[in-house]
Amino acid sequence: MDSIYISDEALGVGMNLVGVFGALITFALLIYFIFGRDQLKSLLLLDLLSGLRVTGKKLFEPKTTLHFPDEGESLPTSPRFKGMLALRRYENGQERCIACKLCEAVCPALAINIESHEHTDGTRRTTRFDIDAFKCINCGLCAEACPVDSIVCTDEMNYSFLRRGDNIMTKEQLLAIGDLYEDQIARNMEKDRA
Amino acid sequence: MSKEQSEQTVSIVLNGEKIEVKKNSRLIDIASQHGCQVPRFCYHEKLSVVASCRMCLVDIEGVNKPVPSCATAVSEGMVVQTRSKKAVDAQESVMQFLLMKHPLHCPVCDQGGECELQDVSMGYGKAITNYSGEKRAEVDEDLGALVATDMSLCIHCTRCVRFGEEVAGVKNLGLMGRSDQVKISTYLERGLQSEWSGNMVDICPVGALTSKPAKFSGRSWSYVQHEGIAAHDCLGAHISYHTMAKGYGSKHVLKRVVPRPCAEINSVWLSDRDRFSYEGLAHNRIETPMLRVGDTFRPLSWDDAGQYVMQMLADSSSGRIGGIVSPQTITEDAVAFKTVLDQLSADIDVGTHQNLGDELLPLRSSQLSLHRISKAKTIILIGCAVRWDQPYISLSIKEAVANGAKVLSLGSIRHQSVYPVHHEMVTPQMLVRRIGILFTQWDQCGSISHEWKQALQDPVVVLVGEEALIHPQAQDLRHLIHYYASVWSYDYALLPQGANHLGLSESGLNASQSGGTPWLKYTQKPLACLWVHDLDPVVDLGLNVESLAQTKIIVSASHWSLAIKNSADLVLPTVCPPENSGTYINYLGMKQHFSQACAPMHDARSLYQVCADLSEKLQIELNSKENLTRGINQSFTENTEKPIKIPQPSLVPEYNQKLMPIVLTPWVQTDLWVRNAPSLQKAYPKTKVALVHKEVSAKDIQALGYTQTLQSQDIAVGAVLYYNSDGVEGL
Repeated sequence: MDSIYISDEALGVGMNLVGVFGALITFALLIYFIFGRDQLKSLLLLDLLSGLRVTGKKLFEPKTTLHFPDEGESLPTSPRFKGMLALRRYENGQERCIACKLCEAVCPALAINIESHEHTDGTRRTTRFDIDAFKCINCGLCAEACPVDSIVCTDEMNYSFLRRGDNIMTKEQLLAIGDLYEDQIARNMEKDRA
Repeated sequence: MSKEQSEQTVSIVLNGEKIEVKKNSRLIDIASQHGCQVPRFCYHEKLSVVASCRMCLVDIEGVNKPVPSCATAVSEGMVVQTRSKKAVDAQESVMQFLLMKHPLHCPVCDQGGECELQDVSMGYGKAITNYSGEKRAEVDEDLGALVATDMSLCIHCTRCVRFGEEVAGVKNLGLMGRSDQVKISTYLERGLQSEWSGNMVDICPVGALTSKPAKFSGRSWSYVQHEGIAAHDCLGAHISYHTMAKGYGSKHVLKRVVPRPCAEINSVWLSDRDRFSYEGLAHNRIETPMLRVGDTFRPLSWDDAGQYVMQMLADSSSGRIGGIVSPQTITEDAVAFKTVLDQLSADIDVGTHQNLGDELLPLRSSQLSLHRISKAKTIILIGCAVRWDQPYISLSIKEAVANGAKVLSLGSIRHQSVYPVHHEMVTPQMLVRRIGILFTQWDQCGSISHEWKQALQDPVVVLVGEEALIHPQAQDLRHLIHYYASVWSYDYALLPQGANHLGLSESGLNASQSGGTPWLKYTQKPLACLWVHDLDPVVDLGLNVESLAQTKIIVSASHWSLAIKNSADLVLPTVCPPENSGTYINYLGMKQHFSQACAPMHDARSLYQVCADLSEKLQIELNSKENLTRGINQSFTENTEKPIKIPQPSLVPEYNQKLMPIVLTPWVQTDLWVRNAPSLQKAYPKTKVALVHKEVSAKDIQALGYTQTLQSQDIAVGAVLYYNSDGVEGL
């Protein structure tokens, strides 16, 4: 019987391997029966391996992170994103705001300040509509309270003030912001409704 | 329980709870008092019951249908459910009916936030409607300068109609049409002709009637409420100032005035003058201290102004110094003013422009409360335009008339009133003599009419008004009335224009000279310096500015006027009562404290502050304001004082000077503050009239600034009425 020769050494290693595997399986079975499946899973580092699988996959995919503010002219946002506040107009240019003061009442940060009067056409209009951007917490409750969709949140989050005092946004500024962002606001509202 | 008590009470079961209540009381009141609020629209505690809104339906055991609780009196053994299924269903249905045609534009409605319809529909309504038709639209009524209308919102509760008929006594509004064509409207398109029109804003449960001056300017939830006392008549109605923060800062501005219930004075009502005068606070104010330089003024800091005041007073210390304060000056201010000025010069007169007391007979509080007036059998008015000058007293008189009282009036003008008054017209010259004749020879003199003879046999109350109190013989008149008060055992009250006559008199500010117009003496004997507080030197004091060329005039006032611009050498801006704190004492001797409601406009200071600065410079000791208030509380006269005895006055002769204009100030012109309230000025005639003897030449009266004449049956024979510009309406 010369054709099949397994050296003693190799046999010793093979027998050792069988022994080690056997011991490991026995140990695993013991753990399984004594402590349960979960303990066994964590012992076998299966979760780690599945996580590493995702990492490995993502390692080779194209990157989505934007380095704000160096990158990211248009951030992808939800239609309900609560950015800078704005006041809207109707299509004919008339202010939507009717000075009902519900936003002022609901504002938890007391950031809104409104004064109103009777306009020459007999309607209720604001003479002052100030938002203190330092106080504003961008909760969006004002936009929710508004019965005429006048005060809204734009997508704009990239704004700052250089001088103290500029933080009080006046009615004219808010309306100008509204004019600037009207298309986007209308689009977001359409999406949100759908 | 004693038998007597049980006769007056009945026991009912209200929502399962057995309670003892007063017999014949209204179910709606009982339920509210016991914590079971019943919704209501047409029902108002001070008005009659019509039960037209059907909102207060409740379920009574044994009655098939739900019944209106406002029109139901409690009876023995009644079992009432206010929240049973039957009651709730009925209330929800009525609510749906009321909202059917009511526009839902609450965000633009001025009543939003304090609307009874909003509250009740949230509490008792259902969130559904079975109606899908069109809403009703009405043409708005023009009710004048004070009340704005939005008639589409009207729910036809007729509170305003009933208020006009039952309280104000002027039927301006009515319910017209039938069914869904029904509407509240003026009969003639003349607006509201009532001194109480502002109350319709309060009682309207929806936004149909709102305040025009305050239209769209605020929201009920952003107001802060401060308690105050009205400063325009001698009663001092209880009011609440509503202020609102302006901008992000803490500075509050006065936005509106509403009544504060007070059973002794104004009940739950408020006259238009007290309600809408707040507007004057923001108009035509003096901003900083000003010094005359030639024909113009130079603004000063308060420090410099103090120096100039000192200098003017020091320069004048060898001559006479006069100080006159307006009758709406706060007592603390007046005390401080007198304390400081008294230290400056020996020859000094500090007083009010109207003299209501003298050494023999100082001004004292009257015992004649509104409750007693309303119970009187005969009321005599002497030169009293009570309806306009003293609206709350007029309301009590109206109540008395409703209970069968007779009202007699003696004066030169037939003033408008909302109840029948027997007028006797006398010329201004004859007024005081005539009163003497009435009191002494009432049973002999042939010239006394049957009505007066009859009236004087009953116990009477006598109310003396402005026309008599500014009379040159006013002192004799007061003595006469006071003396015969004990003879005939009647009660009387002096009812001048201005809020704080009693407080000023208690502070020792009564001018010593007799006569109704003490300021006239200043024109006779030259003054070195005259300090006028809160008065117009020409309009209020009748001073001849040219004759005062040598006198340094210091004016501390809240508002500019033409005469202040023309005559003052130094102008100090002072505060109006809402910007000040202090005490008013009304004609009944009630000490009414109030605190500051809003920050002073511009750079204005209170007279107390001005005097405190001066006292520091002069090193005079001046009590702190709190101590002054405490002093007023402790030392000033109580109502229970012992009567003053004076000798019997002789019969006064007819006033023999022909040129004696009785200048009557309209009720919306009584002080600088109210003169600058635009809506009030628009709503009510503001022409000042002067009554003169018919023999006075037109030239003489034109020299006083009156150009037009008027003779009518409402003016005493022998007198002519002169006025200055706009025409005379509603005397």
